[in-house]
Amino acid sequence: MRSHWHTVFGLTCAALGACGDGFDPRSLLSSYRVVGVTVSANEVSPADSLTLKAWDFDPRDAGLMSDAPPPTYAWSLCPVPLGSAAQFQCLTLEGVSLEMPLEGDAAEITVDLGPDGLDLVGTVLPKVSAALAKLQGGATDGLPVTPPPTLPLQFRLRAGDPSIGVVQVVRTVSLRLAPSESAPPNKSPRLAALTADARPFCEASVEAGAPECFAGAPVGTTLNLRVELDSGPREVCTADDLAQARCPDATPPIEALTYSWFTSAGELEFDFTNDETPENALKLPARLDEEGREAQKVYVFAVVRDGRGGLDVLEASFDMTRLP
Amino acid sequence: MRRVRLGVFTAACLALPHGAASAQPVAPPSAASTAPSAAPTGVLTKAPALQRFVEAVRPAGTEAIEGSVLLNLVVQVDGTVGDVTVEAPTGHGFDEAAVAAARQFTFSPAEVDGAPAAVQLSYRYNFTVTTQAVTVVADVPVGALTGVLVERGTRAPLVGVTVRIESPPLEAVTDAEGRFEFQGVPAGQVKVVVDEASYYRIEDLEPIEAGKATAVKYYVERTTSPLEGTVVVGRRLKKEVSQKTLTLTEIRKIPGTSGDALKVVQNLPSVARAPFGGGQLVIRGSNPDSSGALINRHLIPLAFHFGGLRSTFSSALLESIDLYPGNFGAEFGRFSGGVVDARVRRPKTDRIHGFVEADFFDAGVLVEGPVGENGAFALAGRRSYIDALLPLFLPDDANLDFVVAPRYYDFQAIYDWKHGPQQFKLYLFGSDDALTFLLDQPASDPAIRGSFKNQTSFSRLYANWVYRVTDDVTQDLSVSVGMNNLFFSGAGRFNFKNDVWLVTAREDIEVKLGERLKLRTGLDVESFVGELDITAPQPPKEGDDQGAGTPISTDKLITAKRDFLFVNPALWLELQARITDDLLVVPGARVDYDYKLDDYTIDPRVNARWQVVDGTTVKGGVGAYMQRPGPDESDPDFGDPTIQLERSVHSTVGLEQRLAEGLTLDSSIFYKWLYGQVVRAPAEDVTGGPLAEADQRGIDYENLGKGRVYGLEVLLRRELSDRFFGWISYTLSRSERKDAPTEAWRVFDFDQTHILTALAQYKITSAWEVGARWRFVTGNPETPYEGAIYDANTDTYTPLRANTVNSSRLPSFHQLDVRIDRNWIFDEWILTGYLEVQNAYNRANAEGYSFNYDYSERALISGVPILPSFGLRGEF
Repeated sequence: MRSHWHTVFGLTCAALGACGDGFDPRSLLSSYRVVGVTVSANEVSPADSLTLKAWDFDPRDAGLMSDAPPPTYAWSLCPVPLGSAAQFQCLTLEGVSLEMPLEGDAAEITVDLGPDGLDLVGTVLPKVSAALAKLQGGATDGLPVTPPPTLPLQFRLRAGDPSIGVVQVVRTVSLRLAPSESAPPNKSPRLAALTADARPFCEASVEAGAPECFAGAPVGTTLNLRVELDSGPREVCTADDLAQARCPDATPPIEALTYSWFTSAGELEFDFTNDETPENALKLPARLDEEGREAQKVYVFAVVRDGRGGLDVLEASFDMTRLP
Repeated sequence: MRRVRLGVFTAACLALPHGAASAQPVAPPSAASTAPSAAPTGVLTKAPALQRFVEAVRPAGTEAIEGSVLLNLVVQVDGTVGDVTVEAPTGHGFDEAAVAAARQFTFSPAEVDGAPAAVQLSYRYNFTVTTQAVTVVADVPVGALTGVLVERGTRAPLVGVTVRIESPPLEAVTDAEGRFEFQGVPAGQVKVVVDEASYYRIEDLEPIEAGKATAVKYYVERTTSPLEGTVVVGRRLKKEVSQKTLTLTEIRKIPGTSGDALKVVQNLPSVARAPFGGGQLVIRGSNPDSSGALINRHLIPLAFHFGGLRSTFSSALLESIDLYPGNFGAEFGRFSGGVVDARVRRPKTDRIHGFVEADFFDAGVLVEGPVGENGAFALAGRRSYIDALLPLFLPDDANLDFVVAPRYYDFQAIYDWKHGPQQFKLYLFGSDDALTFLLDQPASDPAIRGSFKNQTSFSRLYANWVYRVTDDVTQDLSVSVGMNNLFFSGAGRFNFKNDVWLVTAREDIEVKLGERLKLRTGLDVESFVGELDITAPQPPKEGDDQGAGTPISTDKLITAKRDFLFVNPALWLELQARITDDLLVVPGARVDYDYKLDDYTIDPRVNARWQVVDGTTVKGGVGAYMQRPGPDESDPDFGDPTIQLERSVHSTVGLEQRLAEGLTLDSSIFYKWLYGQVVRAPAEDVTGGPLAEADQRGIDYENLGKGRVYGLEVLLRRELSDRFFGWISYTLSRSERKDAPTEAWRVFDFDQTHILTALAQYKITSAWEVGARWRFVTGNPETPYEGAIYDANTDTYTPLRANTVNSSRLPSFHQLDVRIDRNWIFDEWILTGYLEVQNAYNRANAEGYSFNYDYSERALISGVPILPSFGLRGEF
């Protein structure tokens, strides 16, 4: 009980924000950052192909650190992740890590899991079975252990550059080895539009440059940001989601969406997430980063998550101008 | 007995012998024995009171000589005086006269542990010379003067105090109830004088009417605080090598503790400082969960309320607190760290007493008094009002809304009955802490948002029957029945509900086998039956990231809902063998069985004390100890039920040296070896996923851990005198762990190399007291972060810890606390107010680090800044 109180006390302290920090808010993009990794499917079969895209902020695009080299991307896959408490290590079997590098050095890659690609069934899964056997104290009669119906495939990305910042990211999808009717694959929520003061961003708008789109605002302005979801009902959580507390324990257990916001300048009203309200307010700074410039490019990212691995990202930018 | 000297004297001068401080022993009565074999083992629960005073016969020719003889009296079980020895002679034949008179004294019997017992005390017999010039006046009308002397504020009767009438010169000495009487006092106004050591002088004019009796009542004020000394606590027979005993008279006003008795334990050697000054008991480098807090030797689940602000049992009802940092006797077990055993006192029986008090955090009340001829009761309660005050201090943008701000209360109801060789105690007590808040936005982890609720409560019904079967055999049966309730829910995702019924029972038997041999044995059983409903992350273990580390969103959740049962019986035996008058050896053994693990231990122990010369004692001990693994570690669903009991060996050698009267030095060197410690099995999936599904046992634990703790403890202690007490405690220690045989030693989470506490309390007058405490503690170890990994699924960053656990330290801690007490003494009650200033020089002590979102920047989290607080207490 004592340690329990310690946790509560620490939690309270953290929540109060009274423990002294003065750090930049998490939502402020000032160096290289990956704000999300979207996948073409949250659940895949062994023969599928999967596309991953890292949504990153490059400070050079916002006029910051413009002399720095561009970011690099190094992808890899871990079929037996040890989880966050083990600091996302990949299992090492007989001195050899099961982590395998993937082809592709861009922010977006496509991975073929089938026999012409990674060959999960022929190459990777036997290693997983061997790992499971080892962890269970050795498989009997030398037979491999049958893997469970689903396995987590953890994709890893090391991106950036020392001059602008280097980040390590993991993105996990489920590999379904046996079909299940009771637990349909989770689908990511989809963001349809990102608006500022009820106007689409000109760069993101189909009718870019149209007078009704949002192209920019002077310093000191407060913008009302909003994202629109693709229409469609929320998904129903599965029993496994509930057991792992990934969904609210409601009846029916409908997934709850949360939104994260990021900006390269200014201050967001909600620094982190705003529950199920897809809105936020961005107060632009009182002056530009560099005196003498007419405008400064500001980037905004909106990320929606369903808490079960599904996510989508929208990115927009606009010019923040000097006061006339 | 009332002693009246009166009359109209014809002599011009008369020498009168009397005991000027006759009923005020110059030192507190000690339960030390008259002979080693008769050594009481318990606490002096009732001091002897002088009931019959016998005047010494002055040797011829000494009528004009004054003298003072310090005697040592042995008050026997029936209250008569046995051996009388002269401790400080004065000559002139006074010594022999005083001895002869003292042998005829009668006292009310003293009691040790509630049973009549022989004790010894110091007694100063004064021979004074009073010049009396009395003129005999025939046919003068006379009256009488009767009265009673009580101590101002406490209303305690003053016994054996001389009351004088100046003209004509008359004297009377108060009896056991503080009464005195003069007969044949000439009518008119007389001047009454009370001039007693340790009390302010009283001079008063009283009218005497012929043929009538004038009744008076004097409230005599102590020159030192009347609250001190009202609790007389004897010393236990020392048989342990590391035991430290605190008495309430010493600790109520120690700065920085707000008068809380249990918190004072944290100022003793061997006890590490808990982060944020919290209530964790980290004793001799052991985990907080490896040390236990007991009430009358029965476990309570929570020693302190929220944040360590206040103990869960009223300090006012405690008689003493024993800290056993290690090498404790066979009667205690199940802890590889230390034991803090608080003993509850018998409520006062002379009249109804009570107090009401309030300070910055809470308010409390106590009422106690007699019930019938043999019974006594006490009712006490306390409730915090932080829930009312905290919202007033929260900033508007705090992102936090308290539904129930930190709130606690506790209660105690005591009935104590004793008659002859039997004593029965019945206690009902409990505690409840609650906290509910809404967190609008997460600080860093999406999981940490929404509504959070925590409630921790326990209640106990405790019964104790002590029966002194014969002079040589005593049995002590105690049973405690109650519930522990722990509930936590968070964000609609996490839930922990644990309701436990528990029964703890002890049957202790003490048999005197001879003049130098005593056998103590007993049965010690604890059993728990309860319900568990949990969906929550695995609690961090020692060496894990305890703070800002792994996000809950990415943590594996353990889920279970079922009943459970634990039964842990133990049998213990101890022999107290006084080999010589100066050498005490206490071998013992304890057998513990754990029903859940189907594992048992046999732990032999031996302690010894040798008084080399008067004032110098060498001590030592070695013994084996066990500790049950945490319930989660042995759980069949999310732990490993195949693990075994954890083991340890304690060893201590030490020296106790009396440096001067009231000044002692207690030093020890200790080494503790921990083995079979439960640690996570290496290379295991601890976060879920396929391996957890495949491995139905959940997290794999093994008894592979080892630990070693060694160091030096020193306590320089100035015992309570009229005006001053204090101590300097210092601990130099190192506590290390090895989580796997192939790993290197690393320091323990709470390893603190230097722990220094210096405190002092000084009574300026009976009204004013000041105190100060200064502490210096090495900063706790911590493991630096080396970047972080972003989990795109959960939008969380998981810090990457350096490979070497606890490889750096927080800055050292030092802090000064000061306190000023003011007493306002009224005739029948006392008001006490205090102002306490914690962290008087506003040191920004580091309690940990806070980090930015990706752990690339960090800042120190400071502890409590300068914090003044005040309190009031009205006592009657």
